[in-house]
Amino acid sequence: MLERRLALDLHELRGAGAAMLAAGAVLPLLPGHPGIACPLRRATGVPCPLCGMTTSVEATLRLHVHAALAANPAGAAAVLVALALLVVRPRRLHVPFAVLPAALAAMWLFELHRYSFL
Amino acid sequence: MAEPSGPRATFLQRLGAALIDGILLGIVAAILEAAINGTVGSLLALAVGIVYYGRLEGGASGQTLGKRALGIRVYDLASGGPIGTSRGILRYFARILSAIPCFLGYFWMLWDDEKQTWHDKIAGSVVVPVSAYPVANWPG
Repeated sequence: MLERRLALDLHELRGAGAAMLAAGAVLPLLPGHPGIACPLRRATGVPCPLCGMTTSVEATLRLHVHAALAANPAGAAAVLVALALLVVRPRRLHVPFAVLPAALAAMWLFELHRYSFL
Repeated sequence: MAEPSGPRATFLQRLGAALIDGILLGIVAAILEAAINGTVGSLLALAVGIVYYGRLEGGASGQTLGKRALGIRVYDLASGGPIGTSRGILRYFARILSAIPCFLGYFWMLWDDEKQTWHDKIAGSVVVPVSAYPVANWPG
């Protein structure tokens, strides 16, 4: 399990990254500034690991670093990774599988603390 | 990196198809809820979603209007071919699970060996390009 690597398709990740950057740039310009509401938080009040990502990505793209980190630090990291994938265009990326649950757990702890559950 | 067992639809194709279907069903739901106030309107909108996804994704083509527009289809991972209406309906409800943690279940395909979302895993399906798995007739 620890030695297993994520099956990352860099072409797919570039596409997803480009879509994320485009959404982060365009959403604040739309009437009413639509966001992506978290179904878990809307239904239960409890945030999920990805809560704050839209806010964080939008803030990062406008260089509002403090606001980005306060919403979800992973948003700023996601923007940097997306830009690196699009600009540097690495051929391969080896990420151990354990990084995924560890990152999600860290993000969830952050959001639970942010919403005063911890 | 582990390769999927066959050609798969890309994230952007699936995102585009989901947006088209979401907009279409959103318009239908808005009309129903405006025309028929209260719970009945919402239940009718839910029924439309169940029939739309269950019949079209479970049918022979495995294509909703969005998937047809993007040239992709739902396919049975184990046996190939259509997943059937009952698993199409199961897949529709499993989308809720995929959506609950800020749509993490949808993003799962980005690092999954078979490029499956959570609702794909629950329904035993994959989404494939029509260029590799042609559709004989739509909706089939």
